[in-house]
Amino acid sequence: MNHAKPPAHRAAFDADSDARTAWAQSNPVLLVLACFVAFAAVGSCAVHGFSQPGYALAFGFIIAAGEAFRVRLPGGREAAPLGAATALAYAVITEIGHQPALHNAPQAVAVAAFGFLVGSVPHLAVRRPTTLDYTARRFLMVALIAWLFRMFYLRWVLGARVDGPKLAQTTAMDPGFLTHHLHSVSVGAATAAFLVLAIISDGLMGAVLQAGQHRRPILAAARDEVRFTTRVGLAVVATALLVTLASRTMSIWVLPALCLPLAFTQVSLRRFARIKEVHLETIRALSRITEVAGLTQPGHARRVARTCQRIGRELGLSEDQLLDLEYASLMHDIGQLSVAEPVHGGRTAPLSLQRQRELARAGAEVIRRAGALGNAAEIVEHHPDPFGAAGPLPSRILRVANDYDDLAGEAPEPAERTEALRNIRLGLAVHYDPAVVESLSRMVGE
Amino acid sequence: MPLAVRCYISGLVAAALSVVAMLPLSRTDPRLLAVLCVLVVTAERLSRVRIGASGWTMSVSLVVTLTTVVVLAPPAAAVVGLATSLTLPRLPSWTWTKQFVNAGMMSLVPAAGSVVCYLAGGHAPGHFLNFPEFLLPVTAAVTTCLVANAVIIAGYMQLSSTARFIDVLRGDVRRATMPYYSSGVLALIFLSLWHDIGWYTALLVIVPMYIAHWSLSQYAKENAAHEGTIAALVQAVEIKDSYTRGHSERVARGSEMLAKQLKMPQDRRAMLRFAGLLHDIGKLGVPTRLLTSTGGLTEEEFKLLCMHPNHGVAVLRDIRFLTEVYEGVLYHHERLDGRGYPTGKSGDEIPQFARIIGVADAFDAMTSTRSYRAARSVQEAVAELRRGAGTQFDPALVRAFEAALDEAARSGTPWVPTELTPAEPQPEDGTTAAAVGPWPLPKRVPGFSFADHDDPFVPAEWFSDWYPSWLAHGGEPNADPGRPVPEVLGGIPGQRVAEPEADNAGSEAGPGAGADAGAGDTVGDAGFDDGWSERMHSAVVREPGPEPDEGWAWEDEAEAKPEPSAESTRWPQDPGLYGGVGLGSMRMRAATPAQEPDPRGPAAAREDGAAANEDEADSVRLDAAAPTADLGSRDSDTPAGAGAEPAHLADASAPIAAPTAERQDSMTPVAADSIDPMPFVEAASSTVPADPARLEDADSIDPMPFAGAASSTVPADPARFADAAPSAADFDLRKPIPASQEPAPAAAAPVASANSADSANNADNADSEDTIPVPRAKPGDPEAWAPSPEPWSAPEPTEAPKAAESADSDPRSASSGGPSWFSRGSSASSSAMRFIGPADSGSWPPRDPEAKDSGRSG
Repeated sequence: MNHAKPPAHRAAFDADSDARTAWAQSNPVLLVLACFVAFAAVGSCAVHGFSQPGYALAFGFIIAAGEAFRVRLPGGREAAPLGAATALAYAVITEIGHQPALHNAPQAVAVAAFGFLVGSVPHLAVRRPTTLDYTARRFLMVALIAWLFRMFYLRWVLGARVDGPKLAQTTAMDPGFLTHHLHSVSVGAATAAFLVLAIISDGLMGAVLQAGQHRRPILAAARDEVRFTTRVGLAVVATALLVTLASRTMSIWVLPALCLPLAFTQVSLRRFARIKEVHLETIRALSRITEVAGLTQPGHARRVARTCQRIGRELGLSEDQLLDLEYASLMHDIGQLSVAEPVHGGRTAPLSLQRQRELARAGAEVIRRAGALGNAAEIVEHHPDPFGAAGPLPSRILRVANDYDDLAGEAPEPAERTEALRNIRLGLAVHYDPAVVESLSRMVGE
Repeated sequence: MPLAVRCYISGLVAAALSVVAMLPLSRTDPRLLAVLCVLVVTAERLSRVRIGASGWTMSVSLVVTLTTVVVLAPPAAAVVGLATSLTLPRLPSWTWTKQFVNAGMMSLVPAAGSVVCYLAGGHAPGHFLNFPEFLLPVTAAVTTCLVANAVIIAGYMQLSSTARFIDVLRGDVRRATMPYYSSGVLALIFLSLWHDIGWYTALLVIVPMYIAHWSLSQYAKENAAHEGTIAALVQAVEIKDSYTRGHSERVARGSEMLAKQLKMPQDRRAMLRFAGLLHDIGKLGVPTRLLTSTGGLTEEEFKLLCMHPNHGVAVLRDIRFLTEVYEGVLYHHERLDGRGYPTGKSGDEIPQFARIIGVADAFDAMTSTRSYRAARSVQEAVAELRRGAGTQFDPALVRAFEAALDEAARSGTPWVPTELTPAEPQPEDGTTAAAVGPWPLPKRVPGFSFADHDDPFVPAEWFSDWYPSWLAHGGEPNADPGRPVPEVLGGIPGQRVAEPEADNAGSEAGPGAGADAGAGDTVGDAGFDDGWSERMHSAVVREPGPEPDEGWAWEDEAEAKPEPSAESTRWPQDPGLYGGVGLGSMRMRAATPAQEPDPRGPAAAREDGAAANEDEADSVRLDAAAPTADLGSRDSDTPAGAGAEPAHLADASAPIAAPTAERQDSMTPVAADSIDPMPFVEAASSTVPADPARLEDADSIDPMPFAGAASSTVPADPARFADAAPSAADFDLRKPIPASQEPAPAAAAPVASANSADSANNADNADSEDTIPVPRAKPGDPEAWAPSPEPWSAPEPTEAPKAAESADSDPRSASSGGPSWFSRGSSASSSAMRFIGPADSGSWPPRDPEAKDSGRSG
């Protein structure tokens, strides 16, 4: 009975994410860079002293809270708009409660480092399977903006270093000097521009990392980053800007008030991430329906899904497409349940095109009725199409992955793998997309 | 529309219009008014979000509305509110009535807030207060808006529906508090920035708020999509069976109603709904021919049917979040009295989810059309539930379900029986007759399908033509002990008809007192084979499997390579999960080669089996991992639903006391279990002097030591299985097992010496503390299961000996015929009786629904 099979895919899944620690999953270059910047900033602060430590502590606390409750979205992405917005706001803030907030760049960076570190402690303590890449990215982004804004822009606007004695002298002589220079539309606009720059740089960094990690085409990675960053990044920019502007009159109290919407966002995102995860897991589990009914090989759907994901990522599918492909690959045999004469054992590869299409149409019908699975129905419907029929790329990937799995079976020996791949190659360019097969053979080769 | 509602709405609109009419045109800044109107409308169009399934929506425009409350005079605030209401997106549920209510409400609420703000000293149009000063007036204004909003809605709901004013008010205030106050805070910042910089800062305030709403809407959308997808997939599964179409959805609804009644928290309720949706997902693991069966079920099919919860859990086991869900799925056919399947859990051992689903499941089965009868009415179904309360259903849940049904009827969504006309023409060969009588019903119901497995109206005998032996013989209460082994058993291919040992046991057992049952048991145990194990065997040793249209997969299994043992040990050895147990005879056994009738007797046959097992040790490495393999070889004489247990064991009820006491202990190691838990066996054993030699013999030749080992490491809880995954060595056939450790799952069943075997195995397995025996029914506690109107309470293990002692003197238990395991069926006077034992089998068929129905209606 096939449900007596141990969940092999689970072991593989665990090895993928859960078993490795945060450190091992993070990009070493990024980590080292972030650590270096943080140490430099803290050292500088230790030498030059802290200005307005109360405010610094308040900002640091909220950054830490935001980081502690960061959201891990399905697909491995991470969102922590609250921490990012607060840290950015502290980097570009100039006035708190009608008083100049002229801390220097190292102090802004040190506060951010403190917040990020404290916020990460719970995650590391419970050994949550997480990567520190996103935290490091956020931190470096904040450091970059703090440095650019405070070292260059403010110095240029005020004509003096923000923490230098010359500015103090000038302010003493002319009490209206700061108001005159800082209360201007141009400074507000420049602040906004810096914040936007921060988000863009963060996205770029993410795209580069993604491309390196998953062997994705850089353009596809950048596109995903942009799509993801647009909304959350917009909220981050707007909140940071509001904090800097409103703290002028409302003092530090603006901070908790303005954090409300972002906290709300974060909570909603958490719930969203959770339900999404549950959904995916449920679909994964339900993909076993056909196995229990004896209509597919044990673990077939999940193996096909994994293969599809890897190939799809390499061929530059967008994240939405990847998700659709995952649904499609998990459900591609569900049509077996509704046809009158299902294929016993579920090896569809040797079937005639006619029969495969019949099954695929039946499956697509079921998925379509389920409604919320994106384009999965279409992918499933077209997956038996030969390469010449120019089905969509996800369908072509699904076809190759499915046929390969039918040929190789579960946990194939190297020889079996080679044999299966050889058979796939026989249908190259007629049945199978050469690019997909190329990607598959790279995968098999590993 | 009722007059009151008309009056209410016209009053609202009139009040709103009169407030608007008071607008002091000369003293209003038209630019400010225009900017606010545009802002509020934009925000409204951008971002109205439905929160959950409650129908409550919220929008970013609330921030702007609350700003107008502070900066504008009441009439102007009303104008802005009116503008908002006119541009509300027209949802599918939009009606003119709602439009008017909304218009009235959205103008009156800001106006009221504005008045309060003014009274609190915060109001001076065109003049902004500074930060700390406007805290009090703004808070007062926001609170007023919140309350006014809720009051107006609650008033409307009170008049237009059956909802109570105070309930709606409370619910609205609770849901709206958070959005209102957070929007109020943002409105403050908005005002401050407006004052400090300019009105365009409002856009900045709206962006984070908008994103917050967006993320919430993403969540809501995903949530809805999730539920919808699962429901649709489950429907896809149901597609082949016209009678159960929509069944899962309705069970989910019923469970949810019940959960609401029990005031479960929201997340558990969602889980329960999910469990209800998925409870029969394992049906797919049952061959298609059962689903569309037009004949009765054979024994084998009946057993397959009883496996469907296990299949369901096999599908769901990887969903990490759903511990309770799969408990619900797995145990939803358990009965409170322990006679359910797959594990025979009883009472409080059955998880709450499973009990709830059990009630909803049975209720929907009764209130929907079946091939053999029309849908019953809700009242009838409730009466049936009530009758089953305490034995099949949890009485508290039945009461709660009744209340929930009343509640649903009151709120305008009563439970409607599913009058379903299946697309297929109904089979005409007697089915219709079966639906309306006349009784006695044929025991094979043409057209019977898997659909009926939930239906409490269907006596278990309908399911199967595999009858307990005494029924096959006309159910004579005190049948001749020496009578031949029933034909039903004998008719099964490969069945060994008569066993010398069995005969011995029978004659030794003396008159009455379960001797035949014991004999039957021995037969079933030692030599029973219906061909299933053969099939399994061939699958495991990679021979061609059964015919492909079966919907089973083990021939693929056969083709597949044997599992690496490390992997196979990941497979949890939970009997509940993987069908090591079932049908009341909780026994776990490895796949045995098919055994032909063997003239040398069972012992020799077993030796052969053992040898074969040894030989195959290499290829059968996954035996433990394929516990369903034992389906065929499992004891066959204890159908879960076949409640028709021998009441003629009445006399034996007293002597079974001692073994029963031991068995009450839930930590009784499994090996004890391997002795048939059937009460009549115990009864027999206590009347028959133990034969230690035979027992020893049986033990030592046990061909399947390994199965016992497997079952003794069963984790208690499916949720725990990952942790409790036993090590490979536990299941390796090649590992020598110490003789003392060798339980006797197959061979110990002979009637003798249950007692001594029990104690021996107790001692042997004392060290397996973190494991529990295969759960099973608790026989023999006469106090526990006598049918009684009182709510059921769990029998305490410690009370068991006492109960057993008193069994002798307890007239009720004596008269009710044996262990309470049977008591329901055997106390003929009880109206709650549905499963009929031989005690009243003179009146077979068990009951006459026509008479009952007419009696009730009359």
